Amino acid sequence: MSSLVTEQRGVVLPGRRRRLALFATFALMGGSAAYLMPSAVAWEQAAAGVTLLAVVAGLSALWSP
Amino acid sequence: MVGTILYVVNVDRENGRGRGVLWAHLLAYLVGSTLVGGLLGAVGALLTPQAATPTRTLAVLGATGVAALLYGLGELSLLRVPTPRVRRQVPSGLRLTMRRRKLMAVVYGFELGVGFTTYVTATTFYVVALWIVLAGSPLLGVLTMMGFGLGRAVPMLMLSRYRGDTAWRSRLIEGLEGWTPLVHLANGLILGFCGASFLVAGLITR
Repeated sequence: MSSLVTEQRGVVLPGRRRRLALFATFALMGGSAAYLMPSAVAWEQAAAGVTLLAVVAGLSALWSP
Repeated sequence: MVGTILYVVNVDRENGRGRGVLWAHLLAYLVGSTLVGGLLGAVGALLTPQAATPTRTLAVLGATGVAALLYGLGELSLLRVPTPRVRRQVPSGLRLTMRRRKLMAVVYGFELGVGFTTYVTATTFYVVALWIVLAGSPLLGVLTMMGFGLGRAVPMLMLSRYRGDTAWRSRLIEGLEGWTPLVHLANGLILGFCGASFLVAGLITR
């Protein structure tokens, strides 16, 4: 199952290698973005990033069983 | 969870009464999340040194970054990562025993807003909590966790606009279940992005 395959109902994740490649791509983008930012705003950048994570965590809670 | 909550917060409206219960529930999300954010920040302030040195920046951003990367891999089912996740849910039977509906909605909202005592879908929540403790600032904790409370409240507010019956709620829950893998994928990728950015930011700060 190496591609986005749909079952009878719902969404199925891409295959393991593709998930890893997607993760690496996103991590590379995040690392590059931080590298290009001035280091003086590292804390502010982290605070903004964590707030984004908090919002995403809150939105994801809609899928709690 | 969403089925119980939508029933509790909407039953008054379905009976032709106001939206007070809904708003009380949404407010309780924010109170619970900001309170726990402030507490985590206060605990962090007691436990961690407050001097803004490059070493501390590296330690805080580095630890948060590594945790985010590991949990990101966990969200994508690429790695088994231990979590403090609890299996408990808000007690749905409360709606049968508690008579004051507004109070019940507040209890549900507060507990869900706190987050630690009930099951959370994404481990992203624990990365946020770790950062708040390591940053050691109650104010930052309150502001950050307000994002969690808002994230919980907004979908509930939008869903409550629909006057659905029990059958509609069942269909909604079934529909949501199908999208769960995508929710984990999105969380994993966002954690990967943010984790790498925290780690690099910590490493380049001098």
